[in-house]
Amino acid sequence: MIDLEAVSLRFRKYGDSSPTLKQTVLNTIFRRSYGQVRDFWIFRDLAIQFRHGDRVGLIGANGAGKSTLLKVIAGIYHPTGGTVRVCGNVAPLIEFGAGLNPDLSGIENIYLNGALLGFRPREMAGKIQGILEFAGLNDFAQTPVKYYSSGMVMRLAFSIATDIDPEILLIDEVFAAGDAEFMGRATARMHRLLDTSHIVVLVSHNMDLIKDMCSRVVWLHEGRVRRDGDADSVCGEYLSFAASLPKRMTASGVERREA
Amino acid sequence: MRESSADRTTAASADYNRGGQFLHGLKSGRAAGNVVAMQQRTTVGRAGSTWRDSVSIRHATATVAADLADLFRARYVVGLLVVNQLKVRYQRSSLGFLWTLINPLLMLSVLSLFVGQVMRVQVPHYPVYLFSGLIPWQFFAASVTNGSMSLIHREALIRKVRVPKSIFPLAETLVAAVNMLFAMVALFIMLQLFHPGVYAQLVLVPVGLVLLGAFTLGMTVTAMTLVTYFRDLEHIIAVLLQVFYFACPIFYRSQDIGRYQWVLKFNPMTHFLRIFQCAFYEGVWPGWPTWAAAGGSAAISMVLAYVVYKGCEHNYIFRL
Repeated sequence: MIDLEAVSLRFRKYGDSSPTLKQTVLNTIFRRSYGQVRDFWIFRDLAIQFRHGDRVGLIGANGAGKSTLLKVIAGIYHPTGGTVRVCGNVAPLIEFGAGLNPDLSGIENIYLNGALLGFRPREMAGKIQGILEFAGLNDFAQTPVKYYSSGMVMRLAFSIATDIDPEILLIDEVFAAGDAEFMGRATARMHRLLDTSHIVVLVSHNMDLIKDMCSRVVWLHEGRVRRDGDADSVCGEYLSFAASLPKRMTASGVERREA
Repeated sequence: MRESSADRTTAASADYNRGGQFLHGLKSGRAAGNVVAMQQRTTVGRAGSTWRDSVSIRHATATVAADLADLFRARYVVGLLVVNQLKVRYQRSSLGFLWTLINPLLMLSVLSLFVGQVMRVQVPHYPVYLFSGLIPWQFFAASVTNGSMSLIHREALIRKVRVPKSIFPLAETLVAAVNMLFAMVALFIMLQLFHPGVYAQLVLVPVGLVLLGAFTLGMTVTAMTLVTYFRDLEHIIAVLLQVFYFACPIFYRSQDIGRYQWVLKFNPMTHFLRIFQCAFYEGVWPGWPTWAAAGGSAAISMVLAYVVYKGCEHNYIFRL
């Protein structure tokens, strides 16, 4: 179960550069605000609940806070105010491959990533073979990841991240990884994960995918829940809303920060 | 542009309200079935000890005990970070890990030759004196230098998974500690060869290591926070460490510098080094002022680091 109660999240927007030590010290001493620091609220009093069995799609314009919401649920961002309750183990499929260390071999990366997800090395030892096989990297297990092709890196990252049995699955955009053969297996595995996870939260701009996979859709608009309901009706409303916007306004959404 | 988006917000506010009501309906409609599920989860969360099982309720006031528990759950990550870092350093060299031992041994030999044959130093057994202070110093300097950049270097990871940020400076301190231990083994070997004897005071080394480790970890975490917030400090810290080095009785003895000796008394590092110099070189028991100063500095450093860390824990990510 995921329960967000009155969650607020503040980002600091800095001007050209982050404030200098001198500025910070002077600001503290004279209790003044000097420099270009501006607060920027991603969420204010956001309340939302995901329950067992929910297949939730998050939609909305760029900068609406979809990815940030996933990161709040994953515990990467700590809410500035409010409470986040998450029961169950969370598998964040966010920014694939970013966590791989290029100097380490495939196996070492598997152990490290497993530990980051909360698995003991002993448990990981049993998974190694399966992960390498799924990624098709048996021959490159000892090779440092920096010598992998980008497709190999993606395959390894995908195989590690999905070789789990999560209760809560957070997916940020569905990734295209590897060749057609791998994509076929990856899609099958994603479907299995979607079936077995208790809660799935999926961020995507692909309405067909959302309608296909999700039973509930939440439309975020500027950090608030604008609509929350069944996939077809919310997606439809969102699409007609997006179509009704003049081009310029859509562009103004793009300028906002999406973390 | 701001104005136009504000207009849209007002126009849409009615929708938000309806959305909220809808959410309420959803809550009450499904509540009965899910209380059970939650209880189930909670029990499993307690039974399992890895953190993926944990039930996290955030924005509650964390205690020191909770922080330590968090750190303990991340022990495998810390272990792997340390091992990997050591592996990467000696990757592809045929002697590999042995270099950690050979390197200080070679350094010691070269220095002994140089000091013994070329340069005449008044201090008897000067290489042993020098290294008994230099090895702990290098530990401190390496930990602070590498640890202060540890969050910045791990940015990609930190943005992807939830981990206690303190594991990164901790891993750097541990890596430096492993190198220090190997160097001390080398020093011990040198003692057998060059020095008149091995003293009973060597039993103090573990105590000294614990105190120095605590002091160093505290300083590393503080430096990491400062550097993450103010990037320019990365370069300033390097210079400060150089100054600090000269303010420590490492290559000179405190009695050799005459009227500036009082400076050393206020340098916490002096007292840590004194413990090691007593154990390896002089063979005397350090007096209680040394222990008090070392213990006090270690405690202050740890408390300072904890306060600073807790103050910034959730904001580091915005500064990366």
